[in-house]
Amino acid sequence: MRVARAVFRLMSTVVGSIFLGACGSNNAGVPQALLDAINGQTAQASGYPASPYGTQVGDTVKNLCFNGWQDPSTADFDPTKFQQVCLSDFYNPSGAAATAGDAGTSGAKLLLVNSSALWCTACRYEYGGSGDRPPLSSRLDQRKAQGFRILGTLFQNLAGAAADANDAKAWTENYDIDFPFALDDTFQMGIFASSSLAPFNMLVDTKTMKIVLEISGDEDAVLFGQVDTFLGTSTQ
Amino acid sequence: MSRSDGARGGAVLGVATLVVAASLAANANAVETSPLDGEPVRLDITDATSVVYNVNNRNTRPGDVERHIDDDWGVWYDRLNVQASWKSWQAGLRLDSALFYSSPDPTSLSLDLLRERHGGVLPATYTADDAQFFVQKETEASRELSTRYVSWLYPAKYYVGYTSRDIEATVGDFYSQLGRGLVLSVRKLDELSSDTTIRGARVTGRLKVGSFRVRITGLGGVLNPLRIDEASGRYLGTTKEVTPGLVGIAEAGMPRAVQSPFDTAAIPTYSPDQVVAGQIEGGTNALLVGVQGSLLTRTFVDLNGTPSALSPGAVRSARDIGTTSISATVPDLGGHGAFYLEAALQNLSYPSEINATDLPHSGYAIYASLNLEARPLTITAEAKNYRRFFPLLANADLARAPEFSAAQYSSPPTTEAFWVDTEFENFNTCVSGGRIKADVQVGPRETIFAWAGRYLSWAESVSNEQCRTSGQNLNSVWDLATGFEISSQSRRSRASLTFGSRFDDLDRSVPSPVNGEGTTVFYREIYTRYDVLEWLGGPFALKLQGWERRRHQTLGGPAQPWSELQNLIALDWAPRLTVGGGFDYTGNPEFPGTYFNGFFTYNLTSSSNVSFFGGQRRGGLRCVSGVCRVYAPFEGVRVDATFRF
Repeated sequence: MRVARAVFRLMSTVVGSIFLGACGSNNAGVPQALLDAINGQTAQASGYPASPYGTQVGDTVKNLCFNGWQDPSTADFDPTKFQQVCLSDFYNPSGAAATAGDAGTSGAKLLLVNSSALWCTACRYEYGGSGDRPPLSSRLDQRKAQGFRILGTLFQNLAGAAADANDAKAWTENYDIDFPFALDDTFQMGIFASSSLAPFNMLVDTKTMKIVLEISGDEDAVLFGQVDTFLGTSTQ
Repeated sequence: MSRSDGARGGAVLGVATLVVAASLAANANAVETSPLDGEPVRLDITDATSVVYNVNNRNTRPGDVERHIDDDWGVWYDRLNVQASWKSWQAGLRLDSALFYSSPDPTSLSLDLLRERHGGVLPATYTADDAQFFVQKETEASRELSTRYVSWLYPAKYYVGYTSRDIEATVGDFYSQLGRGLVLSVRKLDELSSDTTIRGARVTGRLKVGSFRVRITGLGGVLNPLRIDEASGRYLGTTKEVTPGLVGIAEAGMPRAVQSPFDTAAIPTYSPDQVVAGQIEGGTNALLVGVQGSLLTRTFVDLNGTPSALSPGAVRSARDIGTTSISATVPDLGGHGAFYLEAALQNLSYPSEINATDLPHSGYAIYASLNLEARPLTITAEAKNYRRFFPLLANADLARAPEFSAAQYSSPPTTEAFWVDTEFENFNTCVSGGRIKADVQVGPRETIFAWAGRYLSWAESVSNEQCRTSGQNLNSVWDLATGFEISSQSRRSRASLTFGSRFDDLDRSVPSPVNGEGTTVFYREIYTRYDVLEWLGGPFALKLQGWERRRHQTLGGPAQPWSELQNLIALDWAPRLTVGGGFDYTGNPEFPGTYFNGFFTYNLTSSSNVSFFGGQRRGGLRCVSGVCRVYAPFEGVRVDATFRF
């Protein structure tokens, strides 16, 4: 037991040094050119909270960037109009409210990052509503003035393969999505959640970019209870 | 020691153990010591051991760490069970060990994914995207490996018990079911690889006065599910934060969470739940009345001042769940059957820091079963009416240990056939309905049967924790089946065949994934199940089993209807050897189509055997309680053995 754990820790240390940008030479066959590229990675967006970043509640979330739309409906759900959508777009350290004409990312106080897949029935219920349950866009509309924002991401198609631009188009068109939505074809959300389980929802306090809540599965009563508690608190 | 040496060493050690154990088990008998205070101590030692190696299970997808990391790993899993008994006393210890002699390396895996991204060859120069991709996959893989393929040796179960005519007492691990599982049900379910116990104390007293008898049970302790999922190599780990006080004593020696290099501390994947429960059941041969109750209490983690479940949700976020029920049993209806009725109330309490406005606070369940016999007719009827009545889900982290998403401590009856796996989402938490089955013996060895099940669920196609019973939330299900059972040759040959269907319709229209037009079809299935045992003469028999399904799922399934076949053929040479093979097929494009396998089982004695399985087994997708999870297929070899020494 102990031997295996020691081996695991040794292995983890090597991995950790790569992630942290240490330019060591003992990193299990990683090409030097790749290490150089890792060390030369573009710094986080200007003004974005500094590292360390983490994946747990209370941690600051890394500035993930995706290809997508700020507003799929005004872009006619057209993948050729993809642009970069980053978490930093929602960063709002002053807590300033949005003004008329601002993008859907501005004026944020609380950001819901949703990770969905086409094979996931519960994800469809979230986006499209089900029975007397309102769709996600209605949830957003009810809380938009309080600074609630949503970034939807799609990571896999019906066959479990990486989702593509056409899948994103079909999904957003089907649910007539008018909030920021992006394609997560490399499953960047995988650092938070399992690819075999969906949906995954994460709430981020956009003043600090700290994670407020992580939920696996469609648990809308808990999720929106927390959303309302947060928005009520933050607007007091 | 190199990785391959380690792999070879672990596998060789496992196989060597099998051989030695087999030779010892060949002359197995329980050991008895010389008399102690007039009676010997009887010692039973059994060992169930498995050496498994998983190869590429054909579920890989570009860039998907989880579907790569489940290839090329091996485990030697061993369960050593020692039981001793003396006079009215019993004691037992089950020691589980999992030695992962081979597992993927996160850096190699991340490089493989990067290579795959570049058409099979690593490029000479790398872009910032490549660097980001590599780091991201390395992070995912390392976090994944902190909850998977970690070797453990731990006391899975242990107990000391005392049994007399009037009193039964156990300290340590024990199973318990109160009523029909509405209030509490912790037991071993081999088909789900689940073996949950309560680690604590239980006392049962019995009293009989004339024809009146009463049984009183009280129990309390910490819930103890199996910590290692053998199929995935995932384990449940705890930390100090979730094992305070007495829970820490119960958790001594159990697997602990391992820190990933990308986390600032070890993060628990399981927070042991605690339970106190009791039952009083009394009556005569004509009527037995029972009252049972359980209180489940959770240990939450502190997230910035808010107590939280490891996976927040309507059930897991309830700090206390109290469930009580009253039951009545009429064990004999004048020699023509039996009747059972149970009504339960459930109360969920949330921490004050959680906004619980839309969360369910109370619910109820009513369950009844009736068995009537008037030869040649036997009628079995079951009915249920559940409103906001939830299974007691374990406080596990679904994001990091999704294999344990179904771990629970109660099992409200479904009233369905045992193989039904199409109660989607929270079907059983807000439902009315039942099933009636009639068996008619039409000959000395021939029986025909038919059943009809009718269910109305308001929580299958909607997220509806509050159980609002409006038509907008309704799914209406007809589950119908018919078939026969025959036997011949002094019952040495037998056959059963079932034809069934399930029609699950919505009260509202949803867009079809095929053409976008509105449809009320939620799920459709027709199927055949068969089970044939044909005596071939002497010690030989041929066994055929199968389940052929034609399925259509409007939401969440493939766009078009698909078929699933599951067939097994085996030759039995009683009592020593069984040899067989299987063939599975699925038309669901998410999974590989065909699966072949072969197996044999050799019985060394009546209680010791060795079996081999080689080949492929189908995976699947299931959506339960708002969580959709892909079950990985298996491809590889496994040797299982059970020895009694």
